[in-house]
Amino acid sequence: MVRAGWLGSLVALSLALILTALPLPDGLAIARPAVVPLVMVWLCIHVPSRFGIVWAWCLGLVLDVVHSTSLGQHAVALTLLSYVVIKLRGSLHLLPAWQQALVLIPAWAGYQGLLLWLDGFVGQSIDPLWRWLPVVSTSLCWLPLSAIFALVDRPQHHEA
Amino acid sequence: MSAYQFDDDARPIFSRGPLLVLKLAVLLLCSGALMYYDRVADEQELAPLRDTIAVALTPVFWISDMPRQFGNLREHLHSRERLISENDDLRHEHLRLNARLQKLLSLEAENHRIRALLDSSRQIHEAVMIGEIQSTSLDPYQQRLRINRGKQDGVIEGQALIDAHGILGQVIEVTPYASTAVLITDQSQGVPVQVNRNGLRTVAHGNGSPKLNLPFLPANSDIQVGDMLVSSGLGGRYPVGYPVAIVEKIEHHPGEHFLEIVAVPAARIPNGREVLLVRDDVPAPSTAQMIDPEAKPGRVATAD
Repeated sequence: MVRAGWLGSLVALSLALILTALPLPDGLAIARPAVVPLVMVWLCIHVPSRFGIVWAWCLGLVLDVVHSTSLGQHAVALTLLSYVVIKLRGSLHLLPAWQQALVLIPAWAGYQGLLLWLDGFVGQSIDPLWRWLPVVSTSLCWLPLSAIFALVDRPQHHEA
Repeated sequence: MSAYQFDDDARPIFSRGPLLVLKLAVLLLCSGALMYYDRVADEQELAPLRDTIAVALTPVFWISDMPRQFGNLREHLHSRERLISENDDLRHEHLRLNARLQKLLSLEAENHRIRALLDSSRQIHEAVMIGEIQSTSLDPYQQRLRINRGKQDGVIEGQALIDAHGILGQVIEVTPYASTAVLITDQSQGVPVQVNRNGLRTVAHGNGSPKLNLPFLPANSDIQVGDMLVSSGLGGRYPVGYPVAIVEKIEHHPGEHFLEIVAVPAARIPNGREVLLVRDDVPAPSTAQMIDPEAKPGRVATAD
């Protein structure tokens, strides 16, 4: 994506949106990883000059429409997530992917927790433990995602 | 590498840091305002923004629906015998229903005559449109459907959704080419119903499971297992007389004022792809709602 630039980022985000909107059987849907935040965090770490907090906010609005939640709910969560990641970028950028995966677990948990809290705040119900399942699946997805992006991005690696 | 790290760490503090926090604050404020207008203040002003994003996302929804379309295609090419037998069944069903329809037509005519005699202003004219389910809810904790009919087809918010067996839900959000409906089993939903046998009125609440609850019936109510609950039309959202649910279980705990009643929705919620969007062309008399105080305890048939 660093190499492919805007187009690559856009394609990655579109694919992530498609994966988010893909209908899954109920059992799997409970554990659906948060693909859009995954891709967004990767972009925040690797292409900070192009992908920042404002983009994260816009992406959040798009997610709100996809999920039919009230406008702003995902926007808040994604904005805060991107803020944290941009702040930690300096150290995150240097870690190998598996350590990044570990470091990012609290970030996914925070994202999911914030969404849950906002859900309760705007009048939806809060369900117990199962709603934390995406944290696990999202964390597990970080390694494969990084590997795929590294593969796609391989030819040129001298950009900061 | 470490020098690079220091450099990288230093940059945000002096040049980007304050700006980033400022941006964050502004964006969070914007989000808060949006959420307030969208949900809490119940404003319709954000509809254009939502519509624009939804239209831009149309290709995404279209592509994500493709696996299912392929599944359908495979089914189309599937066994000929099954189609023939299904065709036979349908023909029989059609014949049977036609016979019943003839009787119904005469009953309807009679009903009209009697209503005319009674000088009743209420007419039953319901416009029906067939829609296709595009996807069921992405969030497993919300019972929602996406339908391939939108503003362009004349869908309006609040329109009732039925299938061949009963009421499914209502439309809560309309974009130009698609709409979102919430099922009657969603926790936010309540359908004003009456027992078909004796006209006893109550409200059937969704609880997030595939069943409905009837929470406000006193212990001495005349209700039995197997009773059909039909929509009463109070509240003005759902059209009158469609099957909603069948009573499955009635429990009375000693010392409680109300019965604990569980009903199974009449509509076959997880099955099928086609749904009917029904609209009362003549709006239901809103006075009925005001006359009957028990008709709307709290959150009847509203999506919010």
